[in-house]
Amino acid sequence: MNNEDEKAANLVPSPSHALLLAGSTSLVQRGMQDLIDAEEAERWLNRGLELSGERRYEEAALWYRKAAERGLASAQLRLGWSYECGCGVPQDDNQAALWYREGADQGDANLQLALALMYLEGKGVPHDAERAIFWLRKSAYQGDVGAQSKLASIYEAGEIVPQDYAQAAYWYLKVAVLDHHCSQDAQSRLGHMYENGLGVPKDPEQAARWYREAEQGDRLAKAALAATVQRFQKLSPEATASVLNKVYERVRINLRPKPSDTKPQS
Amino acid sequence: MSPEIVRRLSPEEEELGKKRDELALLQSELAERELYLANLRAELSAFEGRYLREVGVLYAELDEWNARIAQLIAEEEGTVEARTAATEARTQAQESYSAAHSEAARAIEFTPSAELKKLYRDVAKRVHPDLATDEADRAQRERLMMEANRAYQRGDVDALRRILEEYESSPESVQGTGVAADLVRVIRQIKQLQKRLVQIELEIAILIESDIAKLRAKAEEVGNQGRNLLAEMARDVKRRIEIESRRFEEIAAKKRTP
Repeated sequence: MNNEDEKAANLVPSPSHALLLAGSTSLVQRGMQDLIDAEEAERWLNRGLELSGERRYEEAALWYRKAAERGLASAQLRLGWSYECGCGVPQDDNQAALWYREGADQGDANLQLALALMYLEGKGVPHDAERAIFWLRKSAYQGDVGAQSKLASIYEAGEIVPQDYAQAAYWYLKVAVLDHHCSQDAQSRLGHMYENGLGVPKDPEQAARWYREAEQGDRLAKAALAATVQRFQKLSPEATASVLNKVYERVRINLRPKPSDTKPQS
Repeated sequence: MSPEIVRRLSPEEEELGKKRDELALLQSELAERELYLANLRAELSAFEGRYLREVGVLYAELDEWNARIAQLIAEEEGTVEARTAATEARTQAQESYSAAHSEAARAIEFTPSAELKKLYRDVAKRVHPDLATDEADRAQRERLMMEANRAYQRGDVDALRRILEEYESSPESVQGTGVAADLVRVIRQIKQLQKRLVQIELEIAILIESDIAKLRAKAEEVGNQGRNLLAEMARDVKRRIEIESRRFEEIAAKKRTP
């Protein structure tokens, strides 16, 4: 009998007035406790971010783990990164992939992209193009710009999947219309595709339009990159550089037009 | 004109009349509050039933995996601690299973009809145990009121009607043995009803403070943001079930290939 029931029993002596709720109280209490923990998890993550800002990475990783175990996707991403770069935990790609997997299964777009990149590079998991595409598409359909960009470049390159310019143009267009640090590359790729009629009808006007947007976007892209760096500041300068190199550049590198592809504008 | 009819009421009779009016008012008020309490209780039971069916059963499943894992570990390690942990995990799993599949889990959504509410009010007004004049009367009223509470929660109009009929045809409901005795009885009834009204407020306060009521309030709060709390909770427990079942498979696989 818990306190609540006891109170009720004392106050309400008549049997006809006894509370009818009983028996399942333990399961209800558990649900309530889990709800409180879920709110707590956000605080745990923030504590980890603060500690990381103070370069106390080992303590930060402990808080990330606590929140990640509670199922908080953003904490799972942080913990995965920590394992990838060996910040506050021993470097371990297997562990990183496991945490990405955890959140990807739950439907988080960021973690689906992170997991896809692991499959692409065979980091922590065996190299598996099919699984990589599976997770990239899941993430891209949820609107993750990084996944859309990556998917476009994969279909354009046709190295790990049969080349498919129509798919490539479709995903480039999704990214090109945004104001995002990946947009500039998508715009110039789209210009290239319109110029040569790859997956879209050959259209010099459209090609010129997208090349122009890409040139303008260059300035914006630099600002966006700066903002991204700013966002990672809490992770300390070293970790910021490391994360940007590993995660952001991994997406970007395949998007950058090869010198032979770039055509001067008339 | 007979002098009998124009006779002024004695002070006692006058007082009795006033007290009877007061009692009638209290009876109506009490019936309203009993109805409110019965509704609250039924709504909470219904929500608890839904919670147990949608989330509780998943906790039971989670505990089942934990018990299986503890069992494997106990077989593997064979230490006293491991065996105690396995026994505890098994007990927990059984408790959760019984709770998730208890009577409470069968409570369904509650939407009382106007007729049902009116009948319950009538029963509360007339049959209420706190109107009892002696022990035998009280025992009968308590039994009928309990039946009425159950009938109300089932939405059983016929049962409520039967309870009213049964009470009205019973000898205890026949009253009156002189003005003085009536006055004493009515005053005692007034006091009892006032006491019960205070109790009802306490019961309501306790119900509102209960975990299930808090959970329901939370569900309503996030429901207003277009979210479904119970579905979210179920998703979270399913996620943990998946982790534990994977863990079980891993340990079992390791055991098969030592």
